[in-house]
Amino acid sequence: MPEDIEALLERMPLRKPPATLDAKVLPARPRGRGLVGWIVAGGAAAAAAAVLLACWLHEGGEVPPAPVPTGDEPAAVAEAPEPLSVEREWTHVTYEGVVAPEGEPMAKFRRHVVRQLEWIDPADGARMEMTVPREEVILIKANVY
Amino acid sequence: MHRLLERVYQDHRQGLYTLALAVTRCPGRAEDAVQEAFARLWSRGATPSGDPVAYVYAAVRNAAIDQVRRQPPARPPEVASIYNGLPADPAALAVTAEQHRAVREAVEALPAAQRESVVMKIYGGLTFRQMADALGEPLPTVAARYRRALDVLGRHIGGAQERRHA
Repeated sequence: MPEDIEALLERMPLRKPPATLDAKVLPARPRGRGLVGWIVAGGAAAAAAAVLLACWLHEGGEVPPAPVPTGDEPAAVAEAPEPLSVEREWTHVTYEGVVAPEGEPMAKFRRHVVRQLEWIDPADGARMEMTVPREEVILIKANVY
Repeated sequence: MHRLLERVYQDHRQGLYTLALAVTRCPGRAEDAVQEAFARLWSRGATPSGDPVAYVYAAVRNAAIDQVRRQPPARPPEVASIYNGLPADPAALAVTAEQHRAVREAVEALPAAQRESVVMKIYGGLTFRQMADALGEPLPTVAARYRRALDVLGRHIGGAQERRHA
């Protein structure tokens, strides 16, 4: 009877995996950022973002509107607990007139960029957000008539 | 992905090791095979498209086969059983010494594919679907092989017990 054989097989004492197996298998897994790491990284990012955003607002910039979900963003998957990352970027260019730093007339543009990175831990829904404003000046040779 | 793998390892530690041992028939190589399989899985980092349990069993089986290919067994081969010896009190397991010996001999005498199917089903607790995914074979083939293995074991164990009683 197959059921009898199955029952007999189930009662057999198996050779146990050696105690060293866990130590060999589990330390090989990549470690995620620990809680302290997340707090430190989050704090640093928030401080940097606050300072840079304050500078940018002081120069007359406007906070971009919050992005409307389009449904294209990756959804949190319960079985893929790696933090998901979402990246957004807003750009605004202002014209600041003609300048002549080296005697040659140049049109001066200031480009403001706000880059927002967001990480979501699908395991518990925790979110971390980092906003990085930056600006750059672009000079383009101007044709003066 | 990594937490998923870790959970599969924790839940199937014994079954995975027993499968590796059934393939390599050497405790040291079985341990190396499980370690190697997980090292590959951790580094790959991709989420399996199918059943994660079947995926991990397939990885451990492949690593065990690689172990055997890399280091063919010495002659005469030292075959390590997947079973432990009987404990001091065999009654605790409800297995007599005679049954223990008969089952052990019968399982060791099975063809490799049948032995693996018994290990995956009985000691891994896999479904036929998971076994088929892990082995990359059709489900009816896997199920039929398992039933053949039980038939062979039944005949072997029954014959051994009759011979001893005669």
